[in-house]
Amino acid sequence: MSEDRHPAASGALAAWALDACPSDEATVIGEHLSACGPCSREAGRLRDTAGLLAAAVAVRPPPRLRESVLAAARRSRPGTSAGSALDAGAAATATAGMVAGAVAGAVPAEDLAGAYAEQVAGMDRLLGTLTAAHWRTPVPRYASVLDLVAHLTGNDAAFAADLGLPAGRAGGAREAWYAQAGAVVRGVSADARLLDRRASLAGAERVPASGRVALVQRAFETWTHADDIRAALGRPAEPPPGEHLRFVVELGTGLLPRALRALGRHHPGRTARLLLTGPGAGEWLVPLAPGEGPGLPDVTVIASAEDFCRLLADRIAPARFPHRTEGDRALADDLLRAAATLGCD
Amino acid sequence: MDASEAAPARDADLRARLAAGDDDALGEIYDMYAPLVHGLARRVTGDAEAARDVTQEVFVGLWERPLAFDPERGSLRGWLATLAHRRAVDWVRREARRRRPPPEDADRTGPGGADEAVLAGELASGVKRSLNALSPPLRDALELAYYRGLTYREVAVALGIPEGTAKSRIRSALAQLGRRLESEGLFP
Repeated sequence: MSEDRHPAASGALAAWALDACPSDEATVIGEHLSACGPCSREAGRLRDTAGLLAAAVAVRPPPRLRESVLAAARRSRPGTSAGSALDAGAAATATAGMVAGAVAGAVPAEDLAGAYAEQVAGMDRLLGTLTAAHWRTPVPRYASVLDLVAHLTGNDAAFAADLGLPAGRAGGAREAWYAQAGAVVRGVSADARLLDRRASLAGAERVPASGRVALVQRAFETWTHADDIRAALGRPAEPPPGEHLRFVVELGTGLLPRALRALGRHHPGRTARLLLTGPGAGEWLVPLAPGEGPGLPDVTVIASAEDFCRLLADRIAPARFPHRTEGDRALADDLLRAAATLGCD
Repeated sequence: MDASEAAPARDADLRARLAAGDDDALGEIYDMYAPLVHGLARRVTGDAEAARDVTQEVFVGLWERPLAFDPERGSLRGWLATLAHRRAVDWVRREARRRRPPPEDADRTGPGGADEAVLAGELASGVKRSLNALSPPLRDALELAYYRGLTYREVAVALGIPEGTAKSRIRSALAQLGRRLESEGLFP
């Protein structure tokens, strides 16, 4: 149906913007919007118009609602409140801290810090739901959830030390992890310049990298381990928003040329194009040997951005990675094998 | 214009503060937009308790996932209205499945009928003017869809018109409303 292709042109988008489409149609349109810039911008405009319709019916909420909403928010994710380092001024500094050559492009440091903060909040919510038996449940590569969380705390502590941030504090596994992760969140949010320091990536080789790249890895590892725990407990995976998947893809594609050489499968003068779909969609050109810029692509790999991140985490084996290839298939196979070596434990 | 340039920058700053864990920012956002979120939820659900629940879910949701809001794609006001509307509509459709028709009260018949303190800002009155300037068939379709949470199919049934007509009325109504708000200077 033509309107499935461009709902902006057919009138379906206006109904969608008012939540007036039956759910099956809304799903189709939502998928289209995640891939179509013009329709997505038009949808944003229509939703802003709808937002003004909301303004016409504004009424004062009951006075007691304010405190109960803010209390519920604090329960779900502890805040920092006034007086801490994370006041408006610090946040504004972080916002202004655009540093060139982020992971690959220029991502504001605040977005990277926010991506990590969001994963920390998600992990904390998850850990808050665990029973004693859950903590003892084995997860792949670890004897128990407890061991996995201790491992995560160790990696966060190493990163904090690289950046000169304070160590966490001793306590139960959850408290120790949260104290360390929280120290990192507060530190990098208060002073984005810390991310320009050198750090090393978690993993056996402790590859040197910028603080920015290492912070993306922290977010990535936290997400991956949260999903490890969810999988072990039979709960559904919770992928991060597309924007964060994109940071992870940037991290991975930046490391791929060196990973290819480490496997002895680098290809000087050749380039792969990654065409990733779904949330986090985008296009990346990857030189297939270190120290080179990308050229014209010799092969295109088409896959979902979320799956690609799981491949990078070594949570999907290259042989089972859902993708399509156009061009030199052997190059694509090497690329995927190298990608799967980038995950840390 | 100053106002239209300041809003996106302010939205981006608030988002950064939320992401950094600054709960004072959440309080500021609540003070700015709780009447809008709560009023919309109240109008769509027609239920005081549901409106409180929706309001809480919207602000806690923003706090938990501040980066889901993308200032490049619209305003914070629009984003919160979107979240509130979606949750309110979900509630209405859940109730409908339980075969309990949403309560009919004067509060829901159209803008201006509420017995609660309707906030009469310049924005609200401008939107009401623009809404009342629409032809009745267009206004009916828009109000049933947005303020009552009906799908365009249900709008068609309610108005006794074909589904395609319902869809195109909703589209024309929203487009005309957008143009009028623009000419009133309420919509950049």
